[in-house]
Amino acid sequence: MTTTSTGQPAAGATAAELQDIRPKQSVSKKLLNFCRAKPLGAISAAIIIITILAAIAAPVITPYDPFDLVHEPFLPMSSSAWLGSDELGRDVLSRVIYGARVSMYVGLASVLIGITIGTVIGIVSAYVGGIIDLTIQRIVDALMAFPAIIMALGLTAALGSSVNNIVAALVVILLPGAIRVIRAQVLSIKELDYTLAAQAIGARPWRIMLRHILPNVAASYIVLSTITLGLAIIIEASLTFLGVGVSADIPTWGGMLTEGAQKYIRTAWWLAVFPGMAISIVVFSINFLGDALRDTLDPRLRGR
Amino acid sequence: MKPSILGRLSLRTLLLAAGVVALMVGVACGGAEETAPAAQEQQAPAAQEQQAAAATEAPAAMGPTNTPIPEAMAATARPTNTPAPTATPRVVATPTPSAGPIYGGTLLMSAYADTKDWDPLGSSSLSSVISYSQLYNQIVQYDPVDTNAITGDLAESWDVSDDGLTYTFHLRDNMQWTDGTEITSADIISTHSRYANPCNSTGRSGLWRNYTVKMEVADKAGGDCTPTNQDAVLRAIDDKTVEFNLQFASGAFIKFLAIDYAKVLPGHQLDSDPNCAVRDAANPCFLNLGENIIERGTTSGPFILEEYQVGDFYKVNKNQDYFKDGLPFVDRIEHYIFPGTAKDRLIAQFEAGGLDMANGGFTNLSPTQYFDLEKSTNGEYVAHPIAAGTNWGLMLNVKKPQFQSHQVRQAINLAVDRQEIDERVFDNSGGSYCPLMGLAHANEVCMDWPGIRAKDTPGGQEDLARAKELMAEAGVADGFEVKYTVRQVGNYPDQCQIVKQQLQDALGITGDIETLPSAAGYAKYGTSRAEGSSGDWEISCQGEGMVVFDADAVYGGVYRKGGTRNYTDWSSALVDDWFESQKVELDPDARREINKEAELWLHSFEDNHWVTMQLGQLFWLVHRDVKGFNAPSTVQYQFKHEDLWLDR
Amino acid sequence: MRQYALKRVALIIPTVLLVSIIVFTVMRLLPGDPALVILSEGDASFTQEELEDLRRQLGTDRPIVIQYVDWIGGLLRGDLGTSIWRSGRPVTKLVGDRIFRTLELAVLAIIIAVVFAVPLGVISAIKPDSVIDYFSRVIALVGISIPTFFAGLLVVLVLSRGFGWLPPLGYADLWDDPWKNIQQMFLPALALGFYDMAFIARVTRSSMMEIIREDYMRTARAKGLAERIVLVRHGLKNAVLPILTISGWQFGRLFGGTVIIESIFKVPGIGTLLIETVFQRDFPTIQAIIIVIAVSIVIINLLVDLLYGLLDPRIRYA
Repeated sequence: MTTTSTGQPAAGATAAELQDIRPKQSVSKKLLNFCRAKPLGAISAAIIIITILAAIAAPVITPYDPFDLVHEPFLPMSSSAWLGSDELGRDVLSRVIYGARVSMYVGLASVLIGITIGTVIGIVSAYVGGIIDLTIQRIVDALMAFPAIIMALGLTAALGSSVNNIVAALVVILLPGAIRVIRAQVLSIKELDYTLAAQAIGARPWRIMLRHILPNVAASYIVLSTITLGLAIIIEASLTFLGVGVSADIPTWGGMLTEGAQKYIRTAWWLAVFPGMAISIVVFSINFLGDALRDTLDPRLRGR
Repeated sequence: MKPSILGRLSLRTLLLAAGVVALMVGVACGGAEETAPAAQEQQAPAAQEQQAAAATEAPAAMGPTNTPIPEAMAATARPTNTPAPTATPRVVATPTPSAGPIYGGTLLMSAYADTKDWDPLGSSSLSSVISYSQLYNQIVQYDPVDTNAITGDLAESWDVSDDGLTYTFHLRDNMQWTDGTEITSADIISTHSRYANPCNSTGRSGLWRNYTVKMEVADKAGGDCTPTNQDAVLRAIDDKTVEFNLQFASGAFIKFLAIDYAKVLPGHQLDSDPNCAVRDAANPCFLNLGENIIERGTTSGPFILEEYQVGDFYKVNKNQDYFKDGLPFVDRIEHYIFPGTAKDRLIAQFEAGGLDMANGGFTNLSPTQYFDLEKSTNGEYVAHPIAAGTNWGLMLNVKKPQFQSHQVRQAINLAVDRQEIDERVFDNSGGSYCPLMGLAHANEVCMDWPGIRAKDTPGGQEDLARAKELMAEAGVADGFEVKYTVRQVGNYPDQCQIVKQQLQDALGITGDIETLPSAAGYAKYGTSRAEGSSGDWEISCQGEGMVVFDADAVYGGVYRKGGTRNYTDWSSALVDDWFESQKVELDPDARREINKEAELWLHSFEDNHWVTMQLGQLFWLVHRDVKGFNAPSTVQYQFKHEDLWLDR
Repeated sequence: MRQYALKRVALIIPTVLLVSIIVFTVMRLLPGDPALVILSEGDASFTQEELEDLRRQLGTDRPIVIQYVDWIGGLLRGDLGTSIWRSGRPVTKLVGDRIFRTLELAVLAIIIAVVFAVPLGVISAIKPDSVIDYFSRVIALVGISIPTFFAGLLVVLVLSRGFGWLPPLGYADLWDDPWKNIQQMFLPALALGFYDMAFIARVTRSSMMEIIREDYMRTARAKGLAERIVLVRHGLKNAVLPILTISGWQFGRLFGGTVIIESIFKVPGIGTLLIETVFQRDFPTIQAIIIVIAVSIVIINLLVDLLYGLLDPRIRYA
């Protein structure tokens, strides 16, 4: 443990404990094992995948164009409008399905970019050490001093609130946590026998990083990505609540929930409840999957 | 822990989770169902009541088909146009309410934002005037009962010279500031010369200066703002008499002088602080801070500022020595600030009966929400419509290549479906669809005009076809792309979403909507004012809150160079001519004829930048126990509250 | 320990400096010239000349490095500048008036969270698979799956619709009117602390589960100590460290959460001020608020680290 490790997110506490090299298994076999051991983790994964697919296929599967004023305003649930219609008479179901696009795009893009860059920086920082490590750690310290939502508020206010700018802001938010977790883990891997042995036989640093270290942080990478995905989706929705989210004409869960909850929850509850359920179920599934993955991938828990 | 146990555990966990979610939904749905029948039961009588109320209180205010309103309003709005109106000072000792007002009590009001400025100089924010209005008086004010008529405030009466160029105000006797100093014409000279000084921005407190002789200063560029011709603009004849000199005879002058922004401040205090003479954002006059007013300010109005918690509330107490005998009625008013992010809490607060009224016609709520509140509280709160609310429009940046062709602008004017917007966004509460807001043609006349007539009529279909032809003539038969910029305030985003859809379907004009916080949006619109720059916006949904219900205000806000909502500084020699000639026309009928001509031309869109959507209504939400309230005709006045009393 | 503490304290200086540079740079990226914002508010008609005058007055026309040095200089003197929107009020006063309310909210939230979370976590660790265990795990997962603002809005809805009750209007400070203050602060703190309760319960559960299996626990039991004493004296005492760390770390997140919760419950803290000023492009105030929050978090993290070092001898290797 190093002095800085106390400030890291809880996600790191268990992920950082990954140490062993796991026996090789084929991917399909691993998946099958996972489904058997964690049926609910698998269901969660299925919900997430279905959501992603729905987001991609939105134009095909939605009953109506999400922008068309197809209904009377404030229709409750009915056979023509399954989830009712909103204040302008647009179809809520179609908008909820379209809403998955922004949430999933923002979440997945920011997590993939953020955690990947964070992992690379974390590995380099830990392995190279010295002044580079020190500099990186100070920057990470500084970035971690900003609460996520405040950082997001500041950055999106500065960059403008397009979808990609929100992704950029989230990347900045997710980076320091990822760097910390990965760095801490690499530091311990660095001292393990097989790394030392590789060094002793004269392996080049990049080869050690690639062959010995990277595979061993893969599990953390997956767990971190899953756990932060939920956070990213919630931050995106919260930004919309605060009025700096994506533009009002794009249907988003956060936007629909905010409008519905602030303006119409007393008269047309479905406007807030369905997008609210969409966010909650997806984030719930993500957290569940994250838990399951952590249990499966964390050797210490697995041993018990 | 074994994986299998975890697996089982998760199954049960999920079941439990599903239960919790179901419970949540149940709470939400159950709550709604419970209240639904009650709401329905109430609906019919409430609607009737509302109609009845509308019929008696504001016959012209409801629905587009109701045309008499603008006519009636215009008639009452112009009495001061006659060269020598006789002053009708209100007898304040015997207030008008029949049942006899009750003294005492505390009024709880909501404010839509924190006070931007406590000093009226250059003040143009409604958030400011609703705060300071109770502390000071104007020279003249709008009548609390006949809210279109003008009556004296500090002035007891006034005369207008035969040529209509000189207004002489006679002040009441025995008026005192709270520090005991007598209120005299010197106070008016000190305050109003600040408003008239060209070194200070006009704001709304200085709108009247557009009618008076222009004030000249020694060296504006060099920073010397000493007036050189002050006496030619306004002067004190004696301690109790003040005179204003106009450039041309106009009935609008006194309407602007009577709005709550044009407050009279204590001259002796203004003179004591060198920062007060000219407005300077970095070193404001000490009276610009509520805290300073509490500590060392002196005021004249019906209430005295007692406590101010920045961003949260301000409380005022009755001025026991108020110069209007017997006023005010209530002992205290507490104002709680509910910014746009606390809309939900505001509605909850009204539903729980925790507020008596909203202070003003702007609260961050939509017409639908007002009507819902009337229903859900079984009519405990009444939404009083303000007839002349907002000139809602679609603002085109004529400096941008897309909108340089007048055919394109004409096509947009024809293709927009105003009725759909009124129905979907404003709950059919809109007023006139005429460009001059009913002050020229009657609304029923405009309703037959191309572009305004309903789209599902043969005429409306012709309009859509003609719009397509025009696009083709302009060489953009397939439409083009454009960026919508809209402030995240009120209904603006909703309006723009519908307009965007309409223009996309009818003309193939596509694009994204960029939403911005209020101030950032204004800043963006402002970029197109610079010469040689077309600015950072292209098309926008905007409104212009009417300051006074007068054609001058419509021209001044939208159709004149430098106008509030004329961010591209669009101008037309024709419109300028019409404006000038109607402005000095004292015969109401003749003036209306001039404006009709201008209106027809504006609507033809030979050259125009503002697609009028409708005259939107705003509402004062007032508890039925609050008496003495009569809705004003615009959103910019009636915040002194000296005539309100509580029937509890 | 002393050396460790000194080193840890010394590390704060570059961090705070970096924090200030980040804040300042991000604020300069903000679109919307504040001078333009001020002039365009409401009735906008102004000249280029007026605009340049105002920029000069606000000092936004100077080179960015000079502005930064100027700002840092003021910061060290405790002068956070002048609000350009709120009638020239000193920012130090604006922020100073409000920071304690936000702090109170955060502290109350963390107290509520710990008070509920620790017993919940301990019980579910002792009795895995029991009803309480499922309950606490579901609560934990629900807590981190529902956006804070949705939870807050639901609380307001349930209170006003279901009980016809809302916290009294007009914020009262704790020392002025404690009863009113608690009425106003309890619900927002509860809504705010819900997420953290979930989080802390999870951490408590997992660290307790590890500790329960440790040898010294078995030894303690073997000595014949009562189960309650074993759990509290030996178990919980050792689980305190991770709980403390997480609580300290959560404190930072709480500051972020206050931005949302304060606006829903109308608490006039720095969260509501931050949102308003972001909309108003009031640079000096935004900068001040963010730097105050960031520095507070740096200091809280430092204190947590020092405490950690004090409690856990293993950390003092430096």
